Amino acid sequence: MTQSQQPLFEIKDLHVEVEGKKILNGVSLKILPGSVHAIMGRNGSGKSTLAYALMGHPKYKITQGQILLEGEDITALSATERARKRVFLGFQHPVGIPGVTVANFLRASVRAVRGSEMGPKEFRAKVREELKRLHIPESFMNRSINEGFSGGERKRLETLQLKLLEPKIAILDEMDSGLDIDALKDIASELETSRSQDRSFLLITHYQRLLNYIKPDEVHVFLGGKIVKSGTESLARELETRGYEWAEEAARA
Amino acid sequence: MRKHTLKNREPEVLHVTENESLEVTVEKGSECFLVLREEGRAAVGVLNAQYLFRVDENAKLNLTWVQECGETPELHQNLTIHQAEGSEVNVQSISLGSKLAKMQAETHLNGPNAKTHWRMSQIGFDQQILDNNVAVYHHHPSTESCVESFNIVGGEAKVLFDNLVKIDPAGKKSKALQTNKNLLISKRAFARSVPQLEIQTDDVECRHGSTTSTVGDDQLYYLESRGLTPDQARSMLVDGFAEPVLQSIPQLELRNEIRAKLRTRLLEEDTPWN
Repeated sequence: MTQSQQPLFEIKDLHVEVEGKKILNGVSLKILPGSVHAIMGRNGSGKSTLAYALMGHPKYKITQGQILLEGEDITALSATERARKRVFLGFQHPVGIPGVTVANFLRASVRAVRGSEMGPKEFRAKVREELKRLHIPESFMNRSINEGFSGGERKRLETLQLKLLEPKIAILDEMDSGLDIDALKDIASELETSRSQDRSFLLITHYQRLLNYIKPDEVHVFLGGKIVKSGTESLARELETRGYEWAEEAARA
Repeated sequence: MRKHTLKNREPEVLHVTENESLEVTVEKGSECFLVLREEGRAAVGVLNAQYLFRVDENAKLNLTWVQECGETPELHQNLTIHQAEGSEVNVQSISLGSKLAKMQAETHLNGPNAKTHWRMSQIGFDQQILDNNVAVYHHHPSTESCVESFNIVGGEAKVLFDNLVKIDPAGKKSKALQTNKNLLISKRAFARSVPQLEIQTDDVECRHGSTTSTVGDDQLYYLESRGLTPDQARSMLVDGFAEPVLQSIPQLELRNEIRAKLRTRLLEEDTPWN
């Protein structure tokens, strides 16, 4: 493997428990720089558990395995530390936080993750630019985080955060859930434009429709807490027509 | 009783450090700003403060009432506001201290089109007991009231909030809104809120609501996943809770001072999180 093909993000034989119950049973995955991987599977297959475990949620106990970012073992790091190393999780159901404005939150978050990279003037200009691209009115900046936001508005705010924090690896947990066609188009196209050699994506999704906009380099089927089948983009289309049962049977064979 | 007339548009600060009995007049058509700072001392065993405000026709009063009685063992506050026709009173009330503080506040809307808006925050820690009773009486038609409270309770403190809105038979076309939110930041904290509505006429618009919540693990995790440390996340959540009250204080310097005191108080609070 050449230097340029070293994985940006690697999951090695990851086993995870939640409240004493085993959910992940040996997940292994290598994500090269600038690549997009999609994980697809039924409800209850462990996809969201994977997302939370990768982002250091304290409820998700890693009992075996490693998570590596640019070769560095981040398995024992907290969520705060992982965020500061530019790991990003886009939540399926982003939580509301009354009394904390979007503006204050973004300012604090950018300062925490990017330090003094961006001065106040540059920050304001960047925020304005991204608000416009994501069709978010500026009035949102004075609202409490996610309070009274529709599903589409919450996902737009998640995308805005991704654009500002510039992660190396973005794990997006069912980013397309709860979105109408227009919202999906807006968000997905912004995500697609933020693809670069400096950023990889791990998309967790039920449906193929997100992948119409963000073309994956690899698709993986998740079953029973691990990856049971991998393929190219065509695997996603095949799942759409043949269902998960086909893939699961093939994996068992 | 000490009498005081406020001057038009000139902000004033009155300090209360021992027993006080004060009558304040806001003259017809004027617009006045008053900061009432109660700064009791531990040496004062029981501090009694009585305030009577008369707000004349079409006058406006902004009252920022800051209670920082620290270690004062017992504080009794009694405030009555009489508002004439067309007058407007905005009150921001922040209670930070005293081991036992009991507040009785009444607003009487004594003329048509009189309006009052209360934004209150009681911050209780250790073993404090903060007990606020706020009553608004709509005696005339087309009067409006809004009472919002945002209470933060930690340690083994108890915060009690009773809010009565009474609309007389003459109070047609009046509007009243009551909102109460309590944030419990320790397992042994206690909050009780009792909003009451007594409506003696029809053709009014009234709403009330009350919630009590804790600092959510999900909220903390969300902020931490964006790079904030657990302490920063917690501060942001708790600070944010009282922000609607702080934001309504017109004096920027005072607003920042209270915000800083609140932050200091939160940092001093050593109740284990779990």
